Amino acid sequence: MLRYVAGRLVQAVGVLWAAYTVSFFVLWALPSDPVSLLLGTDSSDVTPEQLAAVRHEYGYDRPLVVQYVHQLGNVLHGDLGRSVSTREPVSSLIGDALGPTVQIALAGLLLAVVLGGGLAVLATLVRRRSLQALLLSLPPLGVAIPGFWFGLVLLQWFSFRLPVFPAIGDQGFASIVLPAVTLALPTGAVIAQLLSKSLVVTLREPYVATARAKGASPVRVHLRHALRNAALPALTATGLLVGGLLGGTVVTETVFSRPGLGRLTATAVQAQDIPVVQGVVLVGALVFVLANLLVDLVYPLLDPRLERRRRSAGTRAAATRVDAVAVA
Amino acid sequence: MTDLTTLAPESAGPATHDRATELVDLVVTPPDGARHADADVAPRAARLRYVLRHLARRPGLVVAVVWLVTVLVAAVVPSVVASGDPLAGVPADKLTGPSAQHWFGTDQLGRDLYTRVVHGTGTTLHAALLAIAIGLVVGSVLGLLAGFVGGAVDAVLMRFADVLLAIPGLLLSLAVVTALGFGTVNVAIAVGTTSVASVSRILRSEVLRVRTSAYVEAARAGGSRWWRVLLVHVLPNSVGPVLVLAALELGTAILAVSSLSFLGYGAQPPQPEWGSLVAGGRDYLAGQWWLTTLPGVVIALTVLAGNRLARALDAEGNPS
Amino acid sequence: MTSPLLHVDDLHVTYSGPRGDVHAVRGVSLDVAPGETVALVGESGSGKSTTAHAVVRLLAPTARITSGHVRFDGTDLATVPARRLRAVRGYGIGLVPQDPTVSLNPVTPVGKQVAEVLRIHGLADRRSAGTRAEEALAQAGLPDGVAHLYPHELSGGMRQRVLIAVALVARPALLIADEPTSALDVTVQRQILDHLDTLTASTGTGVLLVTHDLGVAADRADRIAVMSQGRIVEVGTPAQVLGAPQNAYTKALIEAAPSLNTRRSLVVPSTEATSSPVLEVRDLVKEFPRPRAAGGGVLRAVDGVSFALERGKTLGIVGESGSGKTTTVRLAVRLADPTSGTVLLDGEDVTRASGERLRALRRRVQLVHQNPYASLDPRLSVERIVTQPLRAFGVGDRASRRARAAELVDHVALPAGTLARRPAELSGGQRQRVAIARALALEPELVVLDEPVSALDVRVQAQVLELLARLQAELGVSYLFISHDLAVVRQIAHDVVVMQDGRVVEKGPTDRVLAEPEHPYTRELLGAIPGTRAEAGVPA
Repeated sequence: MLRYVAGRLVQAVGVLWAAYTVSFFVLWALPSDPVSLLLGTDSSDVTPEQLAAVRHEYGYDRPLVVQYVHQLGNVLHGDLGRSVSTREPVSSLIGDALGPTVQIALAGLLLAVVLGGGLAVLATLVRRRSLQALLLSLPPLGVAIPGFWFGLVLLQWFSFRLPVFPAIGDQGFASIVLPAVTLALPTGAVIAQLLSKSLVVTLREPYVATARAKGASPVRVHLRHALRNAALPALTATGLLVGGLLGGTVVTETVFSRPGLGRLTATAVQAQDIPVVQGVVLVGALVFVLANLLVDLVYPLLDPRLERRRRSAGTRAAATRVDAVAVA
Repeated sequence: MTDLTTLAPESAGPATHDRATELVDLVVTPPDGARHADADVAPRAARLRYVLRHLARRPGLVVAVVWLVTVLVAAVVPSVVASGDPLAGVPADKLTGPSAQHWFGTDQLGRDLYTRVVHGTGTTLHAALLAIAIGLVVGSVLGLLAGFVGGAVDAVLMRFADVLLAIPGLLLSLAVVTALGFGTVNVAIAVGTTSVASVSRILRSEVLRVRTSAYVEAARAGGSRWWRVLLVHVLPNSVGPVLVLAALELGTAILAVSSLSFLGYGAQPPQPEWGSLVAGGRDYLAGQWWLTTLPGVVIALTVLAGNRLARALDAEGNPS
Repeated sequence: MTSPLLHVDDLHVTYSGPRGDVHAVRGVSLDVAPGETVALVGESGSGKSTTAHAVVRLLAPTARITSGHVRFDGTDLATVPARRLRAVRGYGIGLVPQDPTVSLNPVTPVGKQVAEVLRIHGLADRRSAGTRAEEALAQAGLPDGVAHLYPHELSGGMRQRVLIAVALVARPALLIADEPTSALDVTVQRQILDHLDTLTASTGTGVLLVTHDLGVAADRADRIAVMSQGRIVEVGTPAQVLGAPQNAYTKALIEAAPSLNTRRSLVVPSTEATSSPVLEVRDLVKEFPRPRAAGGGVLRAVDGVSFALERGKTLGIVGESGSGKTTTVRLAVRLADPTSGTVLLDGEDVTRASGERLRALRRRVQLVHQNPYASLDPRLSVERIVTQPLRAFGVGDRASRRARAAELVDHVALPAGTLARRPAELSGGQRQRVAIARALALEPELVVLDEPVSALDVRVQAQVLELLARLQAELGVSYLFISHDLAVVRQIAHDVVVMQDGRVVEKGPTDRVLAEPEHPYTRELLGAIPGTRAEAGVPA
């Protein structure tokens, strides 16, 4: 077991390093010049000497590979560089923004798991065909609704028409509700879709027939036999969805004008502030890796068949499938 | 106990097709007889009738297809669906609600919102289709290479795909947009990048599934060269799931493209685009609900219709 | 006769599908007395499994009982409310399902799964349920300590014993066993059925045994009911049914069953006294790296195998799952590379042949797979499938290939109309004929047949074997014939090789090996062939 955990940790670090490398080369090798952006679009009144001085200050005049090695060394020491527009250290910018984002992301995840999972169980358990069809038509709808629009509609109804929740800002619990619901919608819809599909397949398994032959009631068959088996792929999917949730905060925090990682990202992209964007991408990859590490550690507790090979293959298959239904 | 082995390197010895055939073969016929004697190649008229009956039982699918066709027409020749000028406003008519004259109401400059949504269709759809094309072409090449060549090529490509999957899709798009700059085409490239990994994975796993199937082995044992195996057996039997994925990606791409334009990285004003139209209504949430709600409904319906079509294609591919 | 335990009366079951309703069970009436074993025998699609499942109403969602009665313990199970039916399932009637590998919940220890029956019916509290579950597992012939193991830690045979414990732990009056051993090796099958006999005999449990194998029915049942096309066509004691069958279908079934007809032979008399071997393998070894989870190291799947196949003859390779027979054949036809050893084709060493030499070899050696459902490309027409080897080697032009396809399809006794069909439109037997036609397209010297009939019903099996024998007589082709079924090999092979754990334990002329087996494993295999007990009663 210890070897398994250690192996997974090494793998996680590897993925992080690779994600950093990919984002470095995407951001620095493609045509954009952070320095001329820094000095303003109207750079005609800047002398080439001034430009070169700034380049040198940031180290942008060195070969790309040297910059990469240098920056990677800094990252290992926790130094993510400085923002090009505010000149503040990226790590402290991200550190300040993390708190409010974690609040809505966790609340959103919880809502998504509870509502999505509950909907899937209910939809596969009810016997009335019409009710089942109605319940099963909800997740595809949730997947199709744009998150930014859903947030605005929620604002319109619950902040302006019926002033239940505050429209903007970060003022305690009440201000978390609407952003969390907005984040939970696409994630919950995907969970509901995957779990209900998985439940339907599992309920056709011969071992479920064995349970029925024992005289077990439908609820017992559903909860004791089908759910635990069906939950395994949904659990893997949930781990993968956490990263998407972080991406969703960019839109959600913009809609609700909340401070946080998403807002920081949106502003940084607007200003083409490359060090900040790269820092956020790294955090995104870190969250993804941690969530999946957690899932991998919980998984053996639920599934005694510790076949790691097949399991990792399963994760990948699930990843592609989630990617296909997950919404930006 | 002779049966204490859990390691069985061979495939199960005695075949148990009885169970599988028990349900499938319920059509009772003499053994080995021509069970589907009546299943001759259907004449065209009969096939058409079959398709129509198939559709009649799926009204949702019909509505979805009709909607998608309308959207497509709006994208190619918007003036057929809405004859007005999307950029010309009548200041006197500003911020009026939906009416017979202005179906979707008007904005703060008195421009007809319906006309703007229709004329924005092309921009959004163009970006979404470009994104899918990028993801599909790049992803297919990588997936085919990984699945068919295997070995180190496969390992390297799939680790690369792992990394792409580890970066949340929207963040990856944002990184690409940061590097490339704003605009519709750049947004399309950014969105397309996010689907490369999943397309390549699916095609690879399909290629592997088909490559190890008994009929490919039969072809190999029959002396077929590798390129014949690839062209005759592997490709035609692997593209199905990728096409379904492409259809599914249409919805995802529309959502991603409009999200990025909503954030202001796509089409620049005054050019209409679905996501930026929703964003444009943000300042009028309290009073003018239609400015955000109606363009959003159009997006949601289009994504819903695209996904419905994808599911139908999927069901057609594996009729189980 | 005392009042029956189970009385099925004029039962009808219908499946509704996209192509209309299928009337799967058409008026079945059947009794099982206390302590009696009744075997329900039929081919796939006969409705035997559906009948058995309809007794406890465990049918597919698309199936429904349209009319008829199932009387058990004073109630009509066909109409009783679901709640009362659940009280009967597991408690009054136990069920042993078909495939033990998928019929146990993979995430729950097996002891708990046995105990669950007692908990559901309130027959024990948590602690005593565990104890009684362990007792039931021990009675089913499992060693101590398996109760806390998970299904994947047990072999197929052991899992079936767990399922027997599940079915019997509440001491039901009736046991329904649906093909309980068809997924298992013959030697394991015999052990399991023996054990089931002992257990039910000691408790006086009635058994409804569903099987496709007349031999199993003859060995185990007090009475046999033969089903065809949703109806019971004949009922009687094994002696009556096998000795003096009244129904034409029953007669055909008995005629086709290889295990019941030891004297029936399809072996083609060889024209030459001796001939050079067309295929010879010497000291073949194949090692696979063992997964790290299983302790690492290597697994010797094939361990020093040698045999020779003479031209125009058939060599049978017999073994159970894990014996290495399929791997051996894959090495022999060069679909896999041996770790060591030699493969000689017509005296020429082809062990390391590659590129064009290997392709030349492919032309002379063709393969027919076990599963005709997977070995044909679903997108191609039969004509294209059959002519594929011709295209691969650029033989003939379009017109001549078309003619050859018609000829081949005619060879394997399929109607010419088959050429335009796709595999999905054909039955299993028809598909296997197409696979054989494809293998013959290039007029190979050797055709390797990997379990060619094990996926087929017994009558279809007999037809395909006859076809193979006829083709050998006409074309002089040699066969390497792999099977788990000694009875089938006895009918078609000149020589036989018996394999166990990757080694050859016995080889020689089929008549000699089967009449005077030298190795204990060969004797065990022979003894496990179902129908051997009943065979004495069958007239020639």
